[in-house]
Amino acid sequence: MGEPIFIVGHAAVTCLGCDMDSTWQGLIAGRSGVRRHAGLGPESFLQDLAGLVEDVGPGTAAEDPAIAKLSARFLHLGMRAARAAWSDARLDRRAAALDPHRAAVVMGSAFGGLDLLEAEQARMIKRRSPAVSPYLIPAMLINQAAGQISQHLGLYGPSAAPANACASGGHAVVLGAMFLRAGEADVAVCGAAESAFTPPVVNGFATMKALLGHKPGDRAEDDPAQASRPFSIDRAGFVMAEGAGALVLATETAVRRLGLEPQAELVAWSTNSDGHHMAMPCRDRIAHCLTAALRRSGLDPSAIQYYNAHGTSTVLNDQVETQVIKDVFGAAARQLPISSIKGGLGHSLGAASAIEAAVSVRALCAQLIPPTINYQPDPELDLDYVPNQARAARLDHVLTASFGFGGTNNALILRRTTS
Amino acid sequence: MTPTMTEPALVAEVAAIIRQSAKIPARVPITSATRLVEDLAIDSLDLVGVILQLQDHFDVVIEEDAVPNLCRVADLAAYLAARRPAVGS
Repeated sequence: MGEPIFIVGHAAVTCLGCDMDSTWQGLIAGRSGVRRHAGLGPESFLQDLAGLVEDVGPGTAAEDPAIAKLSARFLHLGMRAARAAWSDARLDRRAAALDPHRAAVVMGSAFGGLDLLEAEQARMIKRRSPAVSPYLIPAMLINQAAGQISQHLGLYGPSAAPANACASGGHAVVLGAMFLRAGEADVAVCGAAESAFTPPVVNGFATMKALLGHKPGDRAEDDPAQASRPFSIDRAGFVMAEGAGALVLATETAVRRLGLEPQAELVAWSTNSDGHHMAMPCRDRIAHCLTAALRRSGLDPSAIQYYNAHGTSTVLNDQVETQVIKDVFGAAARQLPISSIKGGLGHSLGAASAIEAAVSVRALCAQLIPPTINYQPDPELDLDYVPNQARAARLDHVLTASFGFGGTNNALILRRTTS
Repeated sequence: MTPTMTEPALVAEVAAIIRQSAKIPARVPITSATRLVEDLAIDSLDLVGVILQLQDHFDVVIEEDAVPNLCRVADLAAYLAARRPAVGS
């Protein structure tokens, strides 16, 4: 065991709000940020339901001049989350005390700048010219998010950009913690950003039947806010979203030296691989991942008081995840509050688990569990999904888990800290 | 070419595209005499972006060999006007 690692800043940029407070308030109020969007029309897109972030990015009042030239949207979302987390940690006021060479940046994404790639490809076809923007290559690279954060926050330590599909954000937190544990850095900005609303990506998920489709009588037809309904009997696919989440991690030594305020402790983590299928989750391997995190934490499963679920609202994920929880927690599964915030946020793919980590930190701070909204019971999924209403609870330990296509899993265990 | 040889409206249009493409702050003036590199600190990536935006906007091909001589806003406006008579007239 190395020295303790603390979370000293957290932030999220989501369809419920472009900052952590509005995201959290929306979640605990049971609101959904999912809408139909005219820009996702049927001439190009197979699904027009989405969780889009407003007021962030090129052309908005809140445009970040640092990355204004780079029009890949995930960069704007990631930069906003990273700046907010850095500020939340009050490290923007302690720059002089920090050795910038001891500050890591780990920012992941599943798809990176595919939106810009597609825009430039359309431009080539329209103009019948091979000319493309000189910003295409730098802006579409997945590691450019970490690069821009490093450049504009002045952080010169280790850098990495995990591309682990829908587990990217959780993996980023794990990698950041590993840099700290290995003595490579004192603090780390970790998270993930995603905006992949291009026809091939949306339609690719739709043709896999991973997205909720149009179906007469579906409750989302009249009320799009009910489209994402994890663990519900009529769940029928996820709703794509965009967003970003970020945490700032610090060693105990750095917390003391820099006068930082711990918001939670990152007690343990685990990552593993299914080695099973390109897209289907593997019950046994996911259970192994969660069990490993619990073992490393030294906690009995019954000590976890909130399980922040991957909970995508697909038939298969929510079924397998419920089975996994029973496998791992045993008898304690019946008493374990479980919720998926994807009911309100949709699924922001690579960014989702970073947002969920930030929300888990806020849940510990607020002693409040965000609900699974749009919930209607499924007799086969018989655990406590914290349906529809936020719940006050004593929370000392929270586990947040995420799983990605390609068979990649992670689990983070967080502990409440009292300042 | 001299600045007076181009229409003010065309110069203003070119200046607006340069400002948008290279993200030049509003407080920095762009006139016909403004030099792209020396006055606006436009780097090589920005310059390619500006040229592409101008090509798209005016539907004019800007030859690569000509770019080194297009130092000022007026040079760009004059080049565009000459290549496409409808521009700036």
